[in-house]
Amino acid sequence: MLNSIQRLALALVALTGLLMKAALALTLPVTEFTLDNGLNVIIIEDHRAPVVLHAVQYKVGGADEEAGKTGLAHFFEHLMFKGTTKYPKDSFDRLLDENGAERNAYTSLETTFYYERASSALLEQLMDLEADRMQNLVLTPEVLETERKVVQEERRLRTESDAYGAAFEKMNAVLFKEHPYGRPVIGLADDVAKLTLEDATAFYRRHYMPSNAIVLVVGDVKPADVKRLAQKYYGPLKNNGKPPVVQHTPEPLHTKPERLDLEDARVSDPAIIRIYNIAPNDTTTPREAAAYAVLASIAASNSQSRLIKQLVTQDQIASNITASYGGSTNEYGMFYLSAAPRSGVDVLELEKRVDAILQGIKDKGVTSEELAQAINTSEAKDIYARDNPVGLGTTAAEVRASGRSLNYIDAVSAALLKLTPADIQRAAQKVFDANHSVTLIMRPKR
Amino acid sequence: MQTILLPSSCGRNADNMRNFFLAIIAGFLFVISSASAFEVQEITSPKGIKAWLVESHDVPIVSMMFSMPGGRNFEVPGKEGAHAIMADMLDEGAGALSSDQFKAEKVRMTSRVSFYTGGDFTSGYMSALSKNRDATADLLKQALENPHFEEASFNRLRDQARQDAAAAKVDQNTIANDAWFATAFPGHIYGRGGSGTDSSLGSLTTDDLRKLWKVTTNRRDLRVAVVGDLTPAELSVLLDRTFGGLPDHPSTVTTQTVDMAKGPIEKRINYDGPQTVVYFGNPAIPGEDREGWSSNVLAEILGGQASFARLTQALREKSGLTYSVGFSDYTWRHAAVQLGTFSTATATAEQALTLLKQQLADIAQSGPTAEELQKIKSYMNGSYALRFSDNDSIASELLSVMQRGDGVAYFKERADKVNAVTLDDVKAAAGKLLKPENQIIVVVGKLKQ
Repeated sequence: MLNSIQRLALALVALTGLLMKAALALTLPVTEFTLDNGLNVIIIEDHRAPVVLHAVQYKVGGADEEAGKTGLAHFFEHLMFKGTTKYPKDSFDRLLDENGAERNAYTSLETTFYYERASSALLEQLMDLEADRMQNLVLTPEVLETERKVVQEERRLRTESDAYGAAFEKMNAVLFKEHPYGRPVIGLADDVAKLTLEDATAFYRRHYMPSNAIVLVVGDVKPADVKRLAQKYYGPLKNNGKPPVVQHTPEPLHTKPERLDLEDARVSDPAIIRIYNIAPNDTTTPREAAAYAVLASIAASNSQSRLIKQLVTQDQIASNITASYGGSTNEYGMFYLSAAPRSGVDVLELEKRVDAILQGIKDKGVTSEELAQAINTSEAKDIYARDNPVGLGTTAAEVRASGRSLNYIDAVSAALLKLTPADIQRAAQKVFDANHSVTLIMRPKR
Repeated sequence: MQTILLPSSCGRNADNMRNFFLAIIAGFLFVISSASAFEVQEITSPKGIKAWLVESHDVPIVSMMFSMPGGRNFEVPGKEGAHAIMADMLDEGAGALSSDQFKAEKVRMTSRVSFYTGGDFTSGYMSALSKNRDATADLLKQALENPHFEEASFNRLRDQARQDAAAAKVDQNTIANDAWFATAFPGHIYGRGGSGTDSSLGSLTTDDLRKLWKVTTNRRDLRVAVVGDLTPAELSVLLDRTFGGLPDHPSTVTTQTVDMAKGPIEKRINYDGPQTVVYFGNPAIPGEDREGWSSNVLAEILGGQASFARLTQALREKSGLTYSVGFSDYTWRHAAVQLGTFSTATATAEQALTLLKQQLADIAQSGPTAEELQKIKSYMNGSYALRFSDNDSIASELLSVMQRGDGVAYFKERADKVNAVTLDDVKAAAGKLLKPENQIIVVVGKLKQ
């Protein structure tokens, strides 16, 4: 069983998408092409089992919503399962159910991802379904109202019933006071209660079109077949003008550390969570991205990492420490830390010890042995990742959605092999800047 | 899908026929399903250690999962939590390596070696690059044969377990889960829970763990699943190298069927939160015969992953009362249950409970429709192939089939068994299992004053 801090640590790791994972080489056969209507298609072949993942990623997410309309991208993701004229909800579900297909979707700050996994023999039908609902969704007020309740329950489950879910929302809001990364993807309760059918249909028209989408196919397929099917089903789709470029208010420079002290009856032990806002991501080079990923590895990713070795194993003042680099967001990269003290250890004392070790990396850098081990681990990850081509595929789709070419993945991977201890020290000096961080101290409410 | 926490999924005992003297390298070849080309090979090493192997040479890595009887459901009163800490301690120093050296070796080789406990089994996992396969297996061997049980590691891990136990006491889902099992199996280990309390964990010593380790690490009932880049001949050698030094003594595992408490019982627990969490369940029918599969099919129709599952339709799709509801069959050594859960806003808890009870009563009385049965069979057979997506997932599925005591023929026969279930079978199962006197419901949320 995971306790809540462990669950949070996992959630933080799950947030660390693109650039962390981009320290993976694309070691499987990848094919990419773009249809005349601008739809980008990425294919990764994996012939070990007659199974396929078919996904559509739209380049729109929570950060693209207007103030007062938070949660619209996610709410709309739910509505995408409500059927079209050609495939009303029942027949859409029936087709997938009778084949035992798995399907789901998720919304992030910048993308919305829909997928199905099924026998590869079903690929043509999956393409037909996804192409159809890209433009022919039928929505009614009744459907909207029922689904609003489901979304409100989801928010209660993930945010209001969860001490760390609620705290995470508050942390983002102070780390990004102006930029929309400060708004929750699931939406503020008051906003979700007010979203209308008009909001949903306008959002659909504006963002759901082939030139704003990436189709990902991973599995037992031949690229020529995928190309033919993509042309047949996605090729005829028209764009409603150009995909909108939503301008986001930049986050002004912060001049002091942000802190949140919270008490909650639903936690039993204190914990520290910290998020650093590193920098605008569009200026992050592959070498810097690789250095941030390695920094997380050296700080707290395994038993030999500095924070874990010193504070968990040797001094035994912490029960759990994690570090991860999240670069999946386009505009600002983030670095996450979490630490839970052992029973009887003052949480602020643990924070001081964590900070002293981070300061040590800033002042003195890392050893060549530490770097060599991190690189070795990263190279092995490339090999293990070949056993999970769906993971590689979603990374590739995220990279393309961010506007970068697939070469970027290999560029980060290549840069990683050439890193020097000085690169990691520079990364630490850049990342561990308290003025661009928010620290949560969570304590149990007695 | 929400998670049912305790006791974890495990199966009945396998009747393991051992063969000490023959080095049988390859046994039977089976194709997992019509949609999957994987072959499961049965391997028996010269020392008689058996394993199932799926060869896959595309990626130079190997995954191995294994288990031995022993886990949360084996805890003696007052020592709950012992198995979990014992398993965690195995890689905290073993053989010539200190705890730190052992972990450093894993990191250096980028290998994973870990141990964990479920309900009925204590299990281990290893994954390694092919080039580090043997060296990683040697670490595993040392952890199984010569763990140190050092005091410093013990104190750290026990403290962590006590912190987890404290967290469980304030977690709404865990409170509901534990209350359901305490109500359904009063006095039994299923009802007490085997994860440990502050006092049971506090009473543990390293001697307790050593004794438990000696009883648990036994190759008589060992089950091993291996997937990846190695041949049957290589695996045969690896099995003896890794597990050949373990003792081989007669199994002491006994099985005694325990009945769930008689219902209907509805228990309410006050909890200050925006949602109410509901756990509901009744006995299931264990086994791989038609009756057992009917029970499974019934649970899938009522609350499985298919979009037409009745509870999903009633509580989410038509009314918007919950984000997710699930209901599944669980079989353990002493009992089998069907158990489900959902959460809903406090204000809609009564409405959701009424709907739930209506759904249970409807299907108990009339059973499913012929269309539902046909659709669920199709769904269950199609979705099974998706479980075999990567080495770890394949190894995990192989091991769980072995834990249930099934043979490799399971993969070939599964679809036929699902298809053999008739409408009358499921109606009979629904009438028998879902009657009100079998129902135990636990509701955790804000109570009306």
